[in-house]
Amino acid sequence: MINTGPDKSIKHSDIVRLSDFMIEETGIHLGPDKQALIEGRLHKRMRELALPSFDVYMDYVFSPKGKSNEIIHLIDILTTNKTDFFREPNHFEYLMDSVIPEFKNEGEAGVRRALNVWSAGCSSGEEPYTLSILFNEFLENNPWFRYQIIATDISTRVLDMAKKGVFEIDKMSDVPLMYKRKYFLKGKGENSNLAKAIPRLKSNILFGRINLMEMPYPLDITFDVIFCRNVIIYFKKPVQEKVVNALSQKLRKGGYLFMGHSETLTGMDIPLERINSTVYRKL
Amino acid sequence: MKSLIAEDDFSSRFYIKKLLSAYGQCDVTSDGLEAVMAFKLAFEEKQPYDVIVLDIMMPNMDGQEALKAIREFEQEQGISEKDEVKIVMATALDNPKDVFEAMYRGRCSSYLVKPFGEKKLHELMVELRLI
Repeated sequence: MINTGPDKSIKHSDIVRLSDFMIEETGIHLGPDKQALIEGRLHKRMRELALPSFDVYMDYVFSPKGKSNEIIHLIDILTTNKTDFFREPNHFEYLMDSVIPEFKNEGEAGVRRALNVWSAGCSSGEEPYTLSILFNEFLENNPWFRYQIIATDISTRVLDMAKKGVFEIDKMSDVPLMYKRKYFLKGKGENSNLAKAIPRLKSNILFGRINLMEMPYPLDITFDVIFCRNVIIYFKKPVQEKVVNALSQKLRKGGYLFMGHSETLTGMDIPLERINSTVYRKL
Repeated sequence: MKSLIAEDDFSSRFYIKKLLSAYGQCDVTSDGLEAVMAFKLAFEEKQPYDVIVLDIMMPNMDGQEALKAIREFEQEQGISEKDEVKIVMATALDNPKDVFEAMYRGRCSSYLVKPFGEKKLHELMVELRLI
């Protein structure tokens, strides 16, 4: 007889239970199409914890200790994070060609305030670093310009990656070579496939964990621009509306909200004016 | 110096625009068709461009076709060869066939192999007597 070891299979009812738990705690809806992905990731987590079976893991998750300690890991495991530099470039173009000139004209005299940008759902950091590259470039011809990027995500795992600012060079194909040379240091030896963002690129980015379901958000500033792209697609419609309203509260009047290309806000009761299908403005 | 860029990739466009803006007004378009329109418009307004940087691979109308359309327009207008707008072809690939086509058939003024930096662009501007 082949010894297959203890039972590590995951029952459908457990997935359902976990899905309900995730919706309740994070608003994230795990579609049935995600089952294989979830199973794979949960097995990995069980190995990390050296747990003998999935039942033991489930008992741990729903125990008081598990609820407070494991939830954050579960979120990390179950949320997918795909992101690229310069993703949806028309947003960055709109930002640099329309939003920034408007900001520039806002007040010529006196001390200028910094442009506040929130990258909500920043994942491993490609979005805030893209913003930082553009702002650094703009700054060279506009020394008056100051900016602050707040980059948040629910997952501490991806936030740690973002903070490090180390990326696989293979995944940086959308970054022009001149920017790679100017803003990143190539790794040596076994790290030669990696590039690390230079301190100047990181210095105006603040990273922190925020669960967009936990409102109001613990940020005491209002933003000129919020990027929240491909985040609310994981939420159900009523939750989406709540999140968009909460984000809007953090926008200054006339501030901009950039959404993912498949995230229409049509029909929602929100204090935003539609500029185009993915760009909105606070009324 | 007034310049025009036709480049479909935003990050490249943003990069080149910053370099050229150092020399004066710089307009951008994202394909060859828009570039030809911008060129004609500027000509009609009697504020023509001094230099046009055309990416070779672009949707709608590529750099080669745009180059051809601009040269044809200039011919129709009776512009002499020495008064032609300077056209620089930008190509990501060091593709001799493309460059040959642009240089000898399309009569572009010069070409730039991407990625190019501030220094290279400056040298070219000097060479073309734009600055």
